[in-house]
Amino acid sequence: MAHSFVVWLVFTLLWGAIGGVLPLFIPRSDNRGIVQVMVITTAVCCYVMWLATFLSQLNPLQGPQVSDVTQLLMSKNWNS
Amino acid sequence: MGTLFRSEQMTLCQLFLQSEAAYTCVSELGELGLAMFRDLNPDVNAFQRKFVNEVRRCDEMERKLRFLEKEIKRDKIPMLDVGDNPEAPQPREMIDLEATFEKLENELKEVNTNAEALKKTYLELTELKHILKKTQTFFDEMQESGMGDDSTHLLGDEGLRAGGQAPMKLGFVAGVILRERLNSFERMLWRVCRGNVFLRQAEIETPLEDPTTGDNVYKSVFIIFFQGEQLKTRVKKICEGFQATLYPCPETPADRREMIGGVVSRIEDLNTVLSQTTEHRHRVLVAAAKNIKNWFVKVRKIKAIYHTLNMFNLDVTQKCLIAECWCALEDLDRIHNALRRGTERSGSSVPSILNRMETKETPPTFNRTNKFTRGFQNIINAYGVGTYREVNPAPYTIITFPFLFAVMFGDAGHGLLMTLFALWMVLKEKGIIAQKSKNEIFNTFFNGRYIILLMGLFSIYTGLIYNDIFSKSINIFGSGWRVNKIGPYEKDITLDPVHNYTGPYPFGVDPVWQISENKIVFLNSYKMKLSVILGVGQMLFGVILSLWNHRYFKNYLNIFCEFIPQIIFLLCLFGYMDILIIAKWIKYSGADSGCAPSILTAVINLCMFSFTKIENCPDFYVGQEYVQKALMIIVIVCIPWMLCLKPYILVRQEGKKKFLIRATQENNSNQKDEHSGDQVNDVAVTIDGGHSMGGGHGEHGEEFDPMNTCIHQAIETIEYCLGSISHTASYLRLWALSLAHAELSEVLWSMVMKIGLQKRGVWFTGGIIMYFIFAFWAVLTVGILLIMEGLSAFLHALRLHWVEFQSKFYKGAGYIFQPFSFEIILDEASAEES
Repeated sequence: MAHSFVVWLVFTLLWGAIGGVLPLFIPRSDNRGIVQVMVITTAVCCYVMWLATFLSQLNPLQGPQVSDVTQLLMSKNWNS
Repeated sequence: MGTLFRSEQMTLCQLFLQSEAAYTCVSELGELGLAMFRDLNPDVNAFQRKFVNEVRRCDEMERKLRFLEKEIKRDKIPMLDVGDNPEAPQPREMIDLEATFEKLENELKEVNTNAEALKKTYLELTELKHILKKTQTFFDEMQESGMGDDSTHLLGDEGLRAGGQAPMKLGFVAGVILRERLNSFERMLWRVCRGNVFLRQAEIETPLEDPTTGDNVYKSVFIIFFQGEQLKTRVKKICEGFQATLYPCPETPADRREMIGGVVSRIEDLNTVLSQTTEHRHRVLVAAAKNIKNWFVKVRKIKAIYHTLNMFNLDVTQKCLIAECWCALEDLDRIHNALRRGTERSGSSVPSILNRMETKETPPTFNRTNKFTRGFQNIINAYGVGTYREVNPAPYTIITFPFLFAVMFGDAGHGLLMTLFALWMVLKEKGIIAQKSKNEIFNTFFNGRYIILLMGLFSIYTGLIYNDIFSKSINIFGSGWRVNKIGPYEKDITLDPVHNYTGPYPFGVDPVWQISENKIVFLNSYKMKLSVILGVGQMLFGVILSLWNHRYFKNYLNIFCEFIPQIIFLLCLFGYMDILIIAKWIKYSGADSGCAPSILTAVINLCMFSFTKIENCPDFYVGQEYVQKALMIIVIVCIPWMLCLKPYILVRQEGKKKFLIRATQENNSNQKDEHSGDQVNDVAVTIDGGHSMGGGHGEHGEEFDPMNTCIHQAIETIEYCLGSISHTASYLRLWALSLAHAELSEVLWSMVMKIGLQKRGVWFTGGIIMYFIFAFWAVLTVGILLIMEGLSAFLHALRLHWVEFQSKFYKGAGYIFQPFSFEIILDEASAEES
């Protein structure tokens, strides 16, 4: 759980920084507003997408069904 | 501030241009391209306008130029297009241009007629030459067979014996006929002359050029022998009917030889003349080809200027022209400058005057775009040009459009290919523009290069989230699922989410799902929920944007009677659903999976005012039943709120207004000469003024109709309430298309690529087979998955923006700002050409 929280915090801070802090440092120009909106929208979209994916796997209700070959390969290659 | 958030603030301007300076001023404004002129004499016929003569002269010049261009193209001379942009010439230069074109046209026409006549003679002479040559062989044959004597009968000795007359002279005609007509010609001759003629023919091997059409035609030489005058006339008539050309052919061999010598020498003379003529024509055209594009630009500019001048009014003194134009408030300075330059160039001493005008008319919608934002603005405009100063969805669309596309197109491999293609177009931008490709499909892609670039980049992101790269996953962070290390392995087991799970995969979907049997079950549940969350978010954003509209237009009534109930409605129904989805993810785990409530059942129960408990399980949260019932009551309250409040308030306001007007009228009649009614009078005047001035434009002057308002509001309410339900469902297309895309790409892999990878053979055959299988797979990937699937995802993203998103706040009832700009006019003209 603690591990999940750290992951959540890292991504929240990452996208939070992009969406919340980066717009302040956009150089002044005619298109500053547009660029700011673009950066913020990107951050929101990407964060929501990541968050939904992350949360949907946080507490899985059901596990993957794997065949014997897959099991063998998984235990050989993924169980380090 | 040139932002895209709202359309530019526009102003109506009145221009007073000195008649001698008007032309140059308009020319300068055309170069600038920032003013949209209004037609001040809409009821004047196009033929009765002031500068109709000039326009006609321009048309004439354009016609001449087109003639020239056609001739140049016929000779396949390359036209120089350096892409320079000459200024519109002064009116006096127009005469020079006209003279030049006139001269060129006449010269060309003369050369053409000469060349045609020469060619005709040439053709005749060559035909004659062929006749003389070919018939020579016929005559020779006759001589050989001992019948060279002209007095020989067709029937030979037999005829002589039978008739016993003196030997008759055998006549003949020779000519040339089209080869395909020869058969029927021969048949006709046989029938009409009852077999009493004798026809010999020979093909002319080299094709001859038809002087009128310039085509190559194949012809045959024929010679017909007959007896008697009657037959001669008949034969001649038939020849005429078949459009065969007859040529005189001397009867004695010596004459023929002499004639052939004459003909050959004449042909040689003609050849030299003809080559000189074509050379002259070529020289003229080459000279014209150098300038023709330049001339086209000049003439089109002049024509555009006079067209614009035709929209102006003459003032009473006839000394100046009055124009009205819309322009952005920001551009006023630049327009002032252009006018000053124009006046200077014309040498006029009186400056041109620009006045801002007050108007009740709705100004045009002008969104200043650059090469990056243009594509997105075009997407919005394709649905409807925004109402003046309304919130423009384009800035938000720049990201949400490619993002929603990518949710449906999520595959990092396909996204990468798309990004590379778009990147190539963006980096080679200048070169591609200079090439001026005529390929329509490519141009469509090229104009949307920045959209495609963003679509590609977002597809890479969503592809990584879905963990899909050409339908394969990568395992970077280590899957969260473990299998028991000790074998033996059962055939199919479902991993236990309690014991076999260590934690969520930090970025994207766990790679184990790609290789699991129940992948679809997991992905469907996840993608459906994701679609609904994204959809509700976007709709909510749309409703919030409507608040910006209401605030900007100071329409506070709409905030309280539309915006607030709308947002409550959406939040209580679908916002609650989103919260349930997320809460279910966090709260329930594999250990208590039996107690996890179904979201769908929960939402249906919410709407039905019912509540089902799962046995032996606690509620989702304490008081869930009551919260849900309360939410539903609020939702139901929102409907009459949206439906009735606004019309009610409007009707009451109208009633007050009427009362006020009636009161002032009574006041006026009572105290006609007194000044005490002034204050109320003003109110009445402003109300009246509002009615009369805005007449015919927008809603300003419309009579208030309570019935109309009620119906309008009812439609809007029903549309919103039903819409928010159906639109939420509509966002499920995100799930459906993304599923289809992922499945298609997996099928392609397992049906094509896998076969190649599993091929066993001698050491090199596998490689060769793989070479072709990969080619097949790559072609299908690009053709089906990238282009076809890409187009379909594009279309659905478009729909989601036009219908689901924009219906929440965007009216799109404006008309577009079309400035008078040479650039646009010339582009249109060149587009028409091709």
